[in-house]
Amino acid sequence: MTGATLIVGYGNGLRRDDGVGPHVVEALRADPRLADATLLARQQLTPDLVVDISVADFVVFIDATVTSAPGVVRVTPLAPAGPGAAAWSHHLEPATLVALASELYGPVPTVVVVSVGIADTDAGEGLSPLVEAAVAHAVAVVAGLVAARASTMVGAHA
Amino acid sequence: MPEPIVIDPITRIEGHSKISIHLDDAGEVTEARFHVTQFRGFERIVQGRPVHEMPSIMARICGICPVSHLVASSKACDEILAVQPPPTGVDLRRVMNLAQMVQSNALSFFHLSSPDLLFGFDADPAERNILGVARANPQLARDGVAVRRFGQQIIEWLGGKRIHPAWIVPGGVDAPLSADARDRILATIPEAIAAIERAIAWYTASLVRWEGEAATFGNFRSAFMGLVDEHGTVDHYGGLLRVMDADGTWLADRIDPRTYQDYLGESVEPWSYLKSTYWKALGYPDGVYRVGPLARLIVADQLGTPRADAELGRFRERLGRVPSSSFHYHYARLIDTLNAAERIEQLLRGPDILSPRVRSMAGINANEGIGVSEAPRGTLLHHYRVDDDGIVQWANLIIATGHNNLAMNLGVTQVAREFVKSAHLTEGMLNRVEAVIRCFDPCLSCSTHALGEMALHLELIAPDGQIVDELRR
Repeated sequence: MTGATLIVGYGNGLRRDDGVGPHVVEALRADPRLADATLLARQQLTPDLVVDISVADFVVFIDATVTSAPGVVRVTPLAPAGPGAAAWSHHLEPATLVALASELYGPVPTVVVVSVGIADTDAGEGLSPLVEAAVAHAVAVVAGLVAARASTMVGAHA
Repeated sequence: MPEPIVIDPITRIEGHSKISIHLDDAGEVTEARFHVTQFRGFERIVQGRPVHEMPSIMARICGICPVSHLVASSKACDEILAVQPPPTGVDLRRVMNLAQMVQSNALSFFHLSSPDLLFGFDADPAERNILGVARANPQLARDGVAVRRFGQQIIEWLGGKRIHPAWIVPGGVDAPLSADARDRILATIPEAIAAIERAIAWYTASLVRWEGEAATFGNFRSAFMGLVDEHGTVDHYGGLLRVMDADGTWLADRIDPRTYQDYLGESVEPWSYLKSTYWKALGYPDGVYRVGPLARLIVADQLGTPRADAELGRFRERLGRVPSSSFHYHYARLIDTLNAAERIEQLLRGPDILSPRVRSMAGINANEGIGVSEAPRGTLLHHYRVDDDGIVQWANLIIATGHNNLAMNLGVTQVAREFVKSAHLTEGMLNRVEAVIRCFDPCLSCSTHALGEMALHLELIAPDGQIVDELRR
């Protein structure tokens, strides 16, 4: 393990709030607390990301969700998907992606999903007001997770 | 009373569709139809848009092969601007288009088709997927990841992002190539070629296992169409159209693709949004021809790179000049991928590849333009007419999957006749009917210019039109 942090925000930027993940990643690029992290904005999760996951020590996926109220940010630990969970065509769910990384490259890093509740998935660019306001909160949450992870690693290696 | 079978949705292809299988009174398959059930209508949407917007709009047709639409659209725009892109601009367009061939072909072979080829068409779907491949043959899975990543990284390094880069523009490309980007790409090529060659070795060693499927998976006489240069070498970017029939006779040899309307007819059926093209001289629906990797290998005299040409020799030694089974798209796709990787290296080692002259600028100088290139799935045509202000008045697109539509329907019918033996469907039947479609690697989002992922609905239909059985995914 290298201690590297990988942050992947994904979603369709042409379906308004569905693109909140990439919006958060773009905001994180300007945050000095994330200067050492690898930041990726993707429309969807594809198998090639297993290479990035395999060299990371801590992975954060940032996604939109309709199961939370608009603007609500949640953090959920993620375990690799079990057998038989890989029915797919061109993209993968985070748990399947992590399982694939585990199969191909060995032990997986710590993985969390930061989800942002959304309101509007109509065609178009830009975020709805509640979700736009939640971007700064999501940035703070992610930065906090990375900082906490870093302090854990410092402790672990002390 | 037998009733129809419906497979709906079809999985592991791009877009939405269903297959209906029609039975006679004896329960035998009479016909099968591949229905594409999605629609977007880009040809209409773009009417009224300024022509310089066309490449970016058209690239949105598809998230898998947006670069192909960028290329064909920009070439159509080149004609309307009456500009000749600088040679380096053309070479850089070629590099990105080839990178897309690599990543799309890798998606098709490694991620969508290799589970069938590794585990068999009757295997448990819980195992027959990418995670199962990773467990059973991790090297094959790692190679799939590496080859697709290789193509995607090139697109990102050239165009700034992997999906929907706007770097290819009318007149050339938006920015020259840096020495750093060239060197990074060159450094990744040996590993990519090694991975592709391992896959070819694995595939050719296991091909004997699939002789039964090869005999029935879209195994019929048809013509094949693709682009070549003036010497008969495959040309993924442009060149001249060649069409060879099932006996190896040229129906057309090195014709200007801008005359496509003289040779290709377009037809629609009420049960599908996917239009069918046909070779006019043979009429509809007899004028079946196929495009894509298999067609490219058949119509080309050579591929123009050493490793791919050596493999083409082995391909022809094993299967002949005009293999009739669509199953061999898989083998052809791997050779096509090897050729693309080698060709990228040739282009990047060209003496002028870092030239800053990559784009020609001009206004509206013509009212019509036709852009033709090879996309991963076959020959792609964009045809636009604009007014004197460059506002699009009319557009016609012919996409690879439309070229292949008649052939896919023949293939589905053949597989259904071979494997559907009762009024009740089994997973093995379902998967084989799907798999013949996957040989063609259809992109329904492109071919109907429609949005979505492929999901299959299979219907088994009786002579009276009632549905006897159906399966959905």
